[in-house]
Amino acid sequence: MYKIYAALKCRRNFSIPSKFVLTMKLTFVLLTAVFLQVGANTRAQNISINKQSTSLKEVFQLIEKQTSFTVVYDSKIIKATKPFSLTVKDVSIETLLDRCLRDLDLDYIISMNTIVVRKKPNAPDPVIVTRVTGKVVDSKGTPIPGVSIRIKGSNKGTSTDMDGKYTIDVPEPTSILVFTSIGYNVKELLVSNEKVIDVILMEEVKSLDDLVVIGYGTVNKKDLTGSVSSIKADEISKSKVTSFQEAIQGKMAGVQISSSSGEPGAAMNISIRGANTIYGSTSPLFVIDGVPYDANANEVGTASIGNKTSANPLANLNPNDIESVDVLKDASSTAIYGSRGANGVVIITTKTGKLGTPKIDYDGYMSFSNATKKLGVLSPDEYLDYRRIVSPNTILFYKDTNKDGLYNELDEPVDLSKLEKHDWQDETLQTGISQNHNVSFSVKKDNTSYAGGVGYLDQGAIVRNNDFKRYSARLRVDQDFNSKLKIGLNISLSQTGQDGASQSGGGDGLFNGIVQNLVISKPVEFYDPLWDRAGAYISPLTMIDDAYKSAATVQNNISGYLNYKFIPGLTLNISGGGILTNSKTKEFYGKKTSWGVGDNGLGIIQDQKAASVFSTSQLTYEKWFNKDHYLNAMIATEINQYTYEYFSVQKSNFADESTGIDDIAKGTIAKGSASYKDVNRRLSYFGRVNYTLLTKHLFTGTFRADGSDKFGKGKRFGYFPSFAYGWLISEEPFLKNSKQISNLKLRLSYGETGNERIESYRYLARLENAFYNGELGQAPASSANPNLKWETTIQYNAGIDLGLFNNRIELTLDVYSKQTKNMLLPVYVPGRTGYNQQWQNIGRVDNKGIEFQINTKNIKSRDFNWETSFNISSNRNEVKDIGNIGYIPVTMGGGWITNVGRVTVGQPIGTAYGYVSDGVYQISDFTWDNNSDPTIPHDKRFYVPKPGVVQVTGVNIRPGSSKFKDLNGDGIVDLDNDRTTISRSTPKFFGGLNNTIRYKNFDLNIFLEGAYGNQIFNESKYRLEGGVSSTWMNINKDFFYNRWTTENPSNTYGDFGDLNKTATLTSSYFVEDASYLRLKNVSIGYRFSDDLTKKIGVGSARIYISGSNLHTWTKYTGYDPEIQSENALLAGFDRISYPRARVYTIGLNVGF
Amino acid sequence: MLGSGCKDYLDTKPYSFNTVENLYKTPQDAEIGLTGCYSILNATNVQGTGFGESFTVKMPIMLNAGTDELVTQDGFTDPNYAPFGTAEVSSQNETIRNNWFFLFAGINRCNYLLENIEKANVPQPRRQEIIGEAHFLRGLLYFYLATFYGGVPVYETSQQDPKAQRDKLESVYQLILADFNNAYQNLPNRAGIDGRANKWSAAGYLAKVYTYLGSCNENAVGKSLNYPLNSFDWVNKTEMYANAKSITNKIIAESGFGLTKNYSYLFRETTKSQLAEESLFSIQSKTNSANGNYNLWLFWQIPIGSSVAGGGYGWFRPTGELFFKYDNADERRKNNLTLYVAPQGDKENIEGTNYFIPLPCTDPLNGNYCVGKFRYRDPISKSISNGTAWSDGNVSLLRYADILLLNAEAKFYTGDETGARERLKEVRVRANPATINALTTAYFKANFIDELLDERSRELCFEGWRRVDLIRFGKFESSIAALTDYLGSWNRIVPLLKSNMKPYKIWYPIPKTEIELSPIDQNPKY
Repeated sequence: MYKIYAALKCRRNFSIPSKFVLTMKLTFVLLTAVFLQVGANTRAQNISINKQSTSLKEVFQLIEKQTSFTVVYDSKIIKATKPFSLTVKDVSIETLLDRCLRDLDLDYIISMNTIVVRKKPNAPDPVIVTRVTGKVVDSKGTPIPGVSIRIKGSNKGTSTDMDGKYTIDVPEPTSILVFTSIGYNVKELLVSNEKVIDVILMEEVKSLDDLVVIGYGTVNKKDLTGSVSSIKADEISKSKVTSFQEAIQGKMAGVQISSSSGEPGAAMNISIRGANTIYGSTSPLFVIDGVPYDANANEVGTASIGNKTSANPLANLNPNDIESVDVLKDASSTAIYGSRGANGVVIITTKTGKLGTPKIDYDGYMSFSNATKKLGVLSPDEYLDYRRIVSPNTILFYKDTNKDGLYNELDEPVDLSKLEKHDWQDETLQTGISQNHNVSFSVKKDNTSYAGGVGYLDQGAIVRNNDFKRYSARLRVDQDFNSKLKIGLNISLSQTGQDGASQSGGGDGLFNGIVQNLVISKPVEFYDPLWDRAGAYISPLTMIDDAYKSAATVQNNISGYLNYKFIPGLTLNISGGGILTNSKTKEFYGKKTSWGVGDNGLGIIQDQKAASVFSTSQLTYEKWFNKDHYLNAMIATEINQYTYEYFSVQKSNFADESTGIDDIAKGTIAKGSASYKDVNRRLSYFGRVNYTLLTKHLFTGTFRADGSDKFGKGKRFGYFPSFAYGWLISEEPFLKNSKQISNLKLRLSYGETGNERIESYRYLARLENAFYNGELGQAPASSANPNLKWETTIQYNAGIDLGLFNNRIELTLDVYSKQTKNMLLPVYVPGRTGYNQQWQNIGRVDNKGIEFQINTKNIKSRDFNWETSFNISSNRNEVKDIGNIGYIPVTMGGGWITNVGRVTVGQPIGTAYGYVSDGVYQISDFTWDNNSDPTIPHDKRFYVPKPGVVQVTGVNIRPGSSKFKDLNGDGIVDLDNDRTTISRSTPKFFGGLNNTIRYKNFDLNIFLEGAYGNQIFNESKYRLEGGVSSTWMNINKDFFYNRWTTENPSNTYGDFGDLNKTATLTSSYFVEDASYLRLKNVSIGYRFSDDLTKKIGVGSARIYISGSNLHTWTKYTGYDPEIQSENALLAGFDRISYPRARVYTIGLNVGF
Repeated sequence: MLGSGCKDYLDTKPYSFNTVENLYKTPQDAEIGLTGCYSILNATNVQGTGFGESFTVKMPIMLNAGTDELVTQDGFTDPNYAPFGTAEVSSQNETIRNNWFFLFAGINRCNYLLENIEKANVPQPRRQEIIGEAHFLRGLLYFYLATFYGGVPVYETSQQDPKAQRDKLESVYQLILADFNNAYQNLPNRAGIDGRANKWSAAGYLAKVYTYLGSCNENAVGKSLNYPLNSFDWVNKTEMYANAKSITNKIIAESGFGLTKNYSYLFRETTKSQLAEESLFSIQSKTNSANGNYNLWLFWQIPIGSSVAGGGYGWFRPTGELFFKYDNADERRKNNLTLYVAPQGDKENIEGTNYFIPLPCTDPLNGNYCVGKFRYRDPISKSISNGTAWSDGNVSLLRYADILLLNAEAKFYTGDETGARERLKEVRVRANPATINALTTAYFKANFIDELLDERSRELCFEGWRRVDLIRFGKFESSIAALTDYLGSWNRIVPLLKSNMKPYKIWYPIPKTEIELSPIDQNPKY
């Protein structure tokens, strides 16, 4: 019988050192390293000892001190050993043990992080099979059925029955049994000579002990005082998406993510707790493996023609490489990033080497996508009916045979049956085929861990000639040199390519992007010399085929660190690195496109280079003063430099287009060139103190001083403090033994963060280039503002975390209030000063909101698991002050309805501003010629509104015109008195519901996501309701059949837009409810049984099928309610955006 | 620790732009600053704002549309353009807002130059010329400000007080006359740099100011509005007409400018040398002009039609009345009023360059009736970026024919009606040598001023003077009231124009945002 006294130490890696030491008297060896080892951070594993006289016991203690290993042994077996001298320097555990034990009758085995020292097994005896039986129960003594029991290092195994009982034959006493069950910590036990081994499996309390990555450090979720949302790798990998933003969309409370369009590689907008500022970017700061990165859309090339679809600068990041995404929301968390934290911080950590056997994983899928929706426009025959009504005397119906410049009965009619007819959406929208392959590996051995992988993505789009490709590779190495020094290097390289013509809006702001053309192009082929400006018929297909756009972006993310432990608790960490992006965009627009016809062929090359580099030196000290006081303090300095360079050249007049953009020399006209360079720097000093009292009162204070060269001398430094308090109520005596409440924490925080994300040197009086007659001139472009300083956001947060029934139900509720003051705004100044705007610190925007998240483990059993998570958030944004002007106008170029929005005090950012729709004027509202002679045809009448009928200033209204509410009741609708706020771009609520169900080897994931209360100003409606008939564009079918006519006096639809003069005015008629609920993802997977995978020689295998964007419930009539216009001040503005794809995926994961 | 030794780490300098205090250090800098002043004339945007609220796009519309010559194309509703042709410009109009800013930005540039020129050590006589050119430009910009908005703040330094209130018209015109006189005294007969202001540019604008002030006083312009700030009561009209007569006589006698032989060559992109014979001052544009600052005739000044035939949009259309102001024999009508250009249509070769010939208009009720006065060439030969939209043609702001007509006006008001009528004939005969007598008979009106105004319209239509002319002769409202809704295809919008036309609309509104940003008086009734 073995009697072993083991000292088990509770290890943790950063925040709290050993807080208790247990000495347990056990009848058998307890190897419980797993549940005590959290996270991937490891200590140095090499050992140095220099002792003249030492004992084994002392050596073992030194091992425990210098490494993360725990040594267990029977004290009797080492009692007899003599003292010896030992000098080793920086050797591995194995070397040390081999040396100490070689002459003794002892040997050792290493299991997880535990070293078992035992008597040497005797010479191989004939195998004596011992039968072991036992019962497996949970901490409350309830038997656990279905626990897998394996003999370590062999393939023998069994499992417990319904009563938690098991029987297994073991070959020798040194065998180790491994007990595993989902939802419980793994347990390994040495058999020794026991015949009956009863086991208690501890419930996995994984989510609570999860590490949360905070700025410049990590903390156990339990000890967190701020408001942080986290998502781990397994959750990210569930949705088979191409960007990490899509993977976290809808899954985090308070984090609103929406894509600007359905185009592959399109920008994703992340807004954390609402828009803080009017002008500056509202994008959060990204920290990718410690490298701070302001994702700047300008780093990635996009079309230089038309309304740009901005690209996603983070598309280079392969979601498959991500270990965790942590979003810091409240100021206590973000203030450590000071100046850059105001919009929240998204921390992305890539995968590191994991303990255990080296792993190689393959993950690959193939997917098929198609458009979720087609817009209902007229068929070719219906189109001809429509044109017969609005333009009978035109080139469509007559040839001008008598050459009088008119098309009428005097001419020969056109044979309409000979016209080519099309359904452009059917002909152009296709099934996009994508494939994605990732191979990754993870190794952690001795003092080295490394992880890496390669990935390939080829994403086909639903529009022809449009695709997105990504090649990525990464390697991460961490090396412990000795107990004090650790270094690591992380390299990630990727290249993306985005191909496809300009997808939204064309040259000169015209409404002729590819996708718009699919909808509006006339469905019959004919050529109108007055309109078809190319001098030939241009179809959407030639627009696609004769336009070329390719943006290739190389992004390298390189960082390294050095970690040195001076004395226990005091650590220096020096890290540095950067993200280097180089993007080159090539465009060529041939003569057969409306973009290239005006230039006789147009070629454009753009080159963008960006380097975001940093270096941080950080000193951390942690100490338990006694069991009641824990202190963790950190001070640091950081420097940052961001360099951006841009270059472009444009040439036109290509007599030969055959080589396109690849021989730009053929263009004979130098249309333009530009270059630009900008460098900005930051210098920061910051620190943080965490103090824990009685393990239940948590205090955090941070302070950061940030200097930026974006401001003038004396105004460069901004100071950003924060304080937070957390109270672990569940640690209090009155709750400690509660059966229901397993966790209850109150969090309170206050903090200030800053923003300086404006263009550089706005404080200077700048000159602008002002050419005349081909000569260079310069002119003052701004007046100086030496007082320009940081914008500051103050945030208060209160949150509650509640875990019930051993954390089977976990709730988090946060409320917050933010005020952004001294906003950096290009403030309009009186035009008579000769300046338009000056950068000033002015105004205030408030955000208030509430976030709720609940995770439940509904069913937890051996074969059946069901987990649900749900989150919902609401944010109220309000502009409190914008200086001395009443509003900031929001105009959208290139449209017929352009003055659409306003930023007004008292309203949220993102509101449209206009008249309130009030139906349609009817014939009864008017009198006409000859005492309203009914025999005069409608279109010949000269209508005069009856007295009392509300008129619209400056517009001749007729029956069929859109009617507006006369808000001030003065009898006339006018710009000054009758316009109001008519839409909001941001939702009142948004959230997601995720269900994960596992039944035996099957798993099912169903994810719903949605937003409520947001609205879109659907500008395309005007055009699709006969707004500009001279352009021959096709119109909406529903409108055509239900529009206002004398026979159909509708009060919903007006007359054709050309005849409805008030339709072109900004009104709530165009505002649509864009609330939606989307069945975002459904996936079903099957994990092959171990028997089968063993047979085919792999560790694990899973196949799955999934569907994305399967259904969207919405009232919105455009392609998709999830859009973002390029103008952040009116995000809910649609002019036919790229349709979203429904994607079906089939994939395979294999682990080796 | 890192960073602690980096005291100057944040002392960085911009790479891609210069700062204001670094300009005007060398003579070359002075030229660059002066070019910057000229740039305002056809700036597409200023400080990243606006779209051609200069002479490029919007000012021609502000000066021509909503008159008896030009109305908004029915169905065209873009709020930046359309309201000008229907007299519904509100104080919130973006074009007004940006135009106000553009003109003051130009004035600021001139003031900045005048303040700093001494630092640049420019040798004489160039220094005096640069100063003269800056004065000319400042006077020009103030003249247009004053005709659009009435009395405006007068700034003579670049420290333009944001709280400055409007000065009365008298003060504004004192500055304008002083500026033009300075230029007149200091500038040479012809500028050393292509297209820059010369002595006669200043003289021509002096004639404009004298006649403008004289006629505004004569016709009691704006008196009914009872708004002292914009009053012309202070003007001594006799003196003005005398000054107008003497300066125009001087131009006619000494300037060396004259009527170029071919009327239509004044309005073609490539006939710059002919334009230079007659134009006292033109807005310049050049092939491959660096980064923009081209002229733009696309929206309404060229015949409608496909861009490959050099066609435009026709956002503003001529009235039927204008068509009938011409005798059928008047060659100028063939140039000024047309139908569309078609890619398959005929071309004419003008000094080696092909131009599409628009279909001739014989009936203004044709739906393709449009302004055809200016012409883009066949873009196939056009080496200008986006050649179908932009133009490298020069645009005359003031030409010799106008000086003759101003001289006629001055003669009439100084008692020489016969001499005045001779000047009208002199203008007409250039395009119509064969039919001059028939035309003179046909166009005769007993009231000389009526005939003068008609002749100004026939000769100068769409060249930026009609609105000013109608206002200064007190005929703005009556000329609109006299329009029919049936004479031309686009007259169907006339009822709307009529219903919006009010006496107070002789002034454009002060932009509402200007008032909100720093309170300043609004024009009456806006």
